Amino acid sequence: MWYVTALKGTYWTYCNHSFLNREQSGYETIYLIHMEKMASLFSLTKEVISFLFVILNIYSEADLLVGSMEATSDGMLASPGVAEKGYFDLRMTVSTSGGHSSVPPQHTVSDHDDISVSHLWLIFILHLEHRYSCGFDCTTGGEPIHTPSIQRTTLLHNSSMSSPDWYQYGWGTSWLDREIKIQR
Amino acid sequence: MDEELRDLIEKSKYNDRALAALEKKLFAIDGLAEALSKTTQAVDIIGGGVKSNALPENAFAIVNHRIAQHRPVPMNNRLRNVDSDIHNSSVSAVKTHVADVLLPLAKKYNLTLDAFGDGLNATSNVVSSGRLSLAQAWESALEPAPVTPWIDNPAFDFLAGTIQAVAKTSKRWNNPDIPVAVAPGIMSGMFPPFTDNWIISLNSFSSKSGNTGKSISTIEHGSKHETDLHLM
Repeated sequence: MWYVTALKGTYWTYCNHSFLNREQSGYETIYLIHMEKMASLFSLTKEVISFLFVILNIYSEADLLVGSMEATSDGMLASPGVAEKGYFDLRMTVSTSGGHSSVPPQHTVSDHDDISVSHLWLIFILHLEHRYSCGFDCTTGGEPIHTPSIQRTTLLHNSSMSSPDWYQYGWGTSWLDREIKIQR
Repeated sequence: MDEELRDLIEKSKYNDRALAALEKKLFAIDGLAEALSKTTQAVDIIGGGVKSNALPENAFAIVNHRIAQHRPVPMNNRLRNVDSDIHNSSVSAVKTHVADVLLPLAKKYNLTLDAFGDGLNATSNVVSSGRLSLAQAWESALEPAPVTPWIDNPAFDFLAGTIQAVAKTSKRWNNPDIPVAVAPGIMSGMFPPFTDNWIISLNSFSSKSGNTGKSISTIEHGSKHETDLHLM
């Protein structure tokens, strides 16, 4: 039994059939669509159902984005993610000889260069954080950062630079004829 | 939108100084934009010692990195003709960076440095005072995802149009004339099993819910958490 949670009721209110169960969730009407019933009712093939599944997901995704849009002075802004940062967890381990706290071994005595693992640990962490506080670019020397962190070649596709309207509202929505321009 | 910011965006398309100024202004307005633009680091787990009256023999920390999407080569490295791959924004660059930062300290405190399997004897003495080990935790490394094309891309256009259509008929606002902008955003990076954009890189868009607001950037945009996967 396949169920797909999807869709705004606005688009599908005419589909008031037995394969459709309506629920209210937050602001939107959520429809549970019984795909098998739908397929038998309309004699649809699995391929068609699969296609519908994709379409429903697109609307569902769009609805999620609508729910997370934020208001700006010029209207609402939705930002589907087209890129994702990398990920790395580092495990740092310091090992030295220990000892009883009442009789600290020689290497932990403060007037020596060597210090205890606890002190070392603080030093390592503080040092790492200090080096990152000025950004990743400045780790190779004390020179000023010449390369801005915002790169034209990163999120901004090269071809976008040829367009004067890359940041304007309604980008690429001509298929709905709903393009809206910023009032400059 | 702030007029100065708008002008900087326009000029930054062709002018490096304007691009740097845009970055400065944007970061001043929205600290989240700065975090999303750079590789970030957070020490999240610290542990060590076994007893209150015993000096610890071991201590560890887990340091979380979110690796920037861009791949800059610092100007000083360009001038020195250093291998740019080392300084690209990548997992290997983070490893190199960490090892570079900690090696002098390991030397100073007479520790043997084991950096990701490469044993580096940082000590000047025959007998070291201890050991500093750097390793990847939990097989967590993941390179930044390729950027999904969004200019003249029918898939992005389709999604953008759908977003606008849904927004304009939404019960949230009951306003069919509401202006809706759709601009590309970046995800902050997730632990590999839960990542979004790596699944199919060329036409993968991820939704974001729970946005923190206040951001006016059309370049990058933050979120408290990411939800779901969208494939087209």
